[in-house]
Amino acid sequence: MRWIWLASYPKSGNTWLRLLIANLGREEPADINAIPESAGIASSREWFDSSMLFASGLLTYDECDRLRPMVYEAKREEFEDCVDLDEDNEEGGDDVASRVGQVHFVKSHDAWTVNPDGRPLLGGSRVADAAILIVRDPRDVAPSLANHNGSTIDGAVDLMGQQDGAFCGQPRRQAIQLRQQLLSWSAFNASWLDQRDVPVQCVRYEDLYTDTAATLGKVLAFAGVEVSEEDVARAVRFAAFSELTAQEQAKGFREAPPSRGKRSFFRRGIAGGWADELTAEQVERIEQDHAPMMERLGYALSAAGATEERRAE
Amino acid sequence: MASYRISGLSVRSEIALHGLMACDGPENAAPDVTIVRGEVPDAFDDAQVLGPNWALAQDRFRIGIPGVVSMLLTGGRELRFCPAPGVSDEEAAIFVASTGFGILLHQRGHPLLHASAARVGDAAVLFCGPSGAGKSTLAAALGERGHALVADDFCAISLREGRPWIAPDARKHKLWRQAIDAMALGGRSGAPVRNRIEKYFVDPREIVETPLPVAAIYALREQRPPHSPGITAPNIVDAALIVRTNAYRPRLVRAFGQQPLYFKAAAALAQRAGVYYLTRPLSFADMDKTADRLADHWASLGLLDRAA
Amino acid sequence: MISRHGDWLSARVGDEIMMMSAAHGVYLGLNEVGARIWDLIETPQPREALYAALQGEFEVDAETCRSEVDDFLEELLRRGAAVSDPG
Repeated sequence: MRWIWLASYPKSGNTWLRLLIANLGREEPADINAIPESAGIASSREWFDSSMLFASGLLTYDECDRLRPMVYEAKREEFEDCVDLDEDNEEGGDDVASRVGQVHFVKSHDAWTVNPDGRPLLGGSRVADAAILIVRDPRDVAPSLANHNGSTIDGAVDLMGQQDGAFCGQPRRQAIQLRQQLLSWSAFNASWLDQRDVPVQCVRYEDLYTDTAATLGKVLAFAGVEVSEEDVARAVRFAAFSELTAQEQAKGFREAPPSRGKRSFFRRGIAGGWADELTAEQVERIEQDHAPMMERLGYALSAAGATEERRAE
Repeated sequence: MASYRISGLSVRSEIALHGLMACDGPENAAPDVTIVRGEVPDAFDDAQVLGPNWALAQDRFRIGIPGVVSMLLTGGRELRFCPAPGVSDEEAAIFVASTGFGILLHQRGHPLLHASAARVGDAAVLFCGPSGAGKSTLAAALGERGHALVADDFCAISLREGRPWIAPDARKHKLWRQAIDAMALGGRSGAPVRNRIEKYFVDPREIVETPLPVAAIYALREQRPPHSPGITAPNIVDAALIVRTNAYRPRLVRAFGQQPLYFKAAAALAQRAGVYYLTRPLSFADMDKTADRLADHWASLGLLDRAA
Repeated sequence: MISRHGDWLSARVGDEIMMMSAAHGVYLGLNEVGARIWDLIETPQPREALYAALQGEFEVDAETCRSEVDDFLEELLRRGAAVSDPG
């Protein structure tokens, strides 16, 4: 088997890519609600509790992080044991939607970090064969993240700039998932790009948007999934955004956060929508916080920023 | 030596188990289970099933909570624990009383569900779901409404003439700070379950000490698309899977080869009680609405007829 | 002849039957008609006998009955819950 991380800062297109993958080799569009929610993600509390046999809720987040590499190693063994079985085991931890043949795709919003023992939190090369990092223009991420968190856009920009940004890190209650250290938007992406434990392929949301089939084809080739062009084309058709939003409106989608008003998970599937949603000041803050990483990933700074840069020369 | 009743078993323990209700021990009779301090092997030579921090060999099971305590469970009768260097008994106790004892109950061959339970009329209703689903909080909220606590974390099921019964396992609630504040239970809250964790023991208002027949089991689900709030019955396959996947430790059902046991429990629960989904918002503000919904359901099942 | 196969546990719940294969950890549910067929094939039955029995008990025309029963048996065979022996 092969284990491929699908890593991304939140709201960067991870679910879209998973939906594309889930639609491979199908006769009809995959049910959007069949995409596993708590299963198939690195921060799954269920994976921890069921492998280690005790409640992660009794540990501090740092104590959890010390043990998380063991959890993924055990999970990998379990996947390998199931290689001959076509059916998913009855404990329901695995899901066909996240697997293509013998290639397992596992989502992660955790940055690539080392735990307090100095081991890669996600188990390094003992667990994963490779990683796909999905990145998206931070000026598009901000409004989408605000929508997801039910926060203001300024709040989202703050979180993206915070060196110790995290999901599910509240100490006063137990979040459904384990704490995920996001770091800042720049540091998250740097952590995955610069680690040397597993080969990583970077995919830009914008490229996936502009030429979905070609980009998906590249991703799958990197992951070691053999598919025909027709398969890819059909998966793209099935997963088309119209399909997504239609299904979401008809049934709701279980990965959407509990409603605080009417927000939909696929808020707006358009690359480059930031210009009319952010104030000039918000754009400036994002660019100030993340200019080097934006440039590294090929996201041009806006005219204002560019002018200043020219002046500086 | 302290004596307890846990899941209907008499237990004698060398350490105080916080959160459990102490009782007078059987004077002469041997207890069903003894909890002793002692050496725990790092590994078994004859291990049959291995996990990252646990191993099963014949009638022995070892589990380590790294850096805290390791435990050896033998034949469902003895739980031997060994705290890691520098770890107090107190810190080890919570893992002995929950994790250790839960696995020991699996080892004894009871169908064991990860569920809380409350008394309704002359029966018990169970609430199951993974960690964080809201089992303990709901049981505590129902306690405030006069439903005595039957179990907080695990429910050992036995079948008597085809009818499912639950062994009482009442102990202190374990609630997160946010829940204690939201439900104004601060007056009855005590020590933290563990240092550095904002989860505290809370005294239940009333507890049940005798076995009760099971009237219903609810799988807790958060209200979020595509699930709308309410109580619904799953199809029979999902009913069977609800019981199977809500074993206290689902992995152990396979390790111990107990799948048929859980199938039979599921069949009995579906035939003689009822298996339902309870879908509700997770917010505390909606707790009353959820409790009202449950009360209506119990009335429709006739559970309240003999109450009061 | 169609007969039950494998290590399936089954339990009746109302009109339906809940089934589990201990070997594969697979769960199945049979509706009222499926449950009746499962009862019937406790002793090996020729297909024709199944069609006849069900047509007598349920309101269904011959053609629908045949095709529905065949589909159901196909599923049971595929799941390894039944076998079909010639004769």
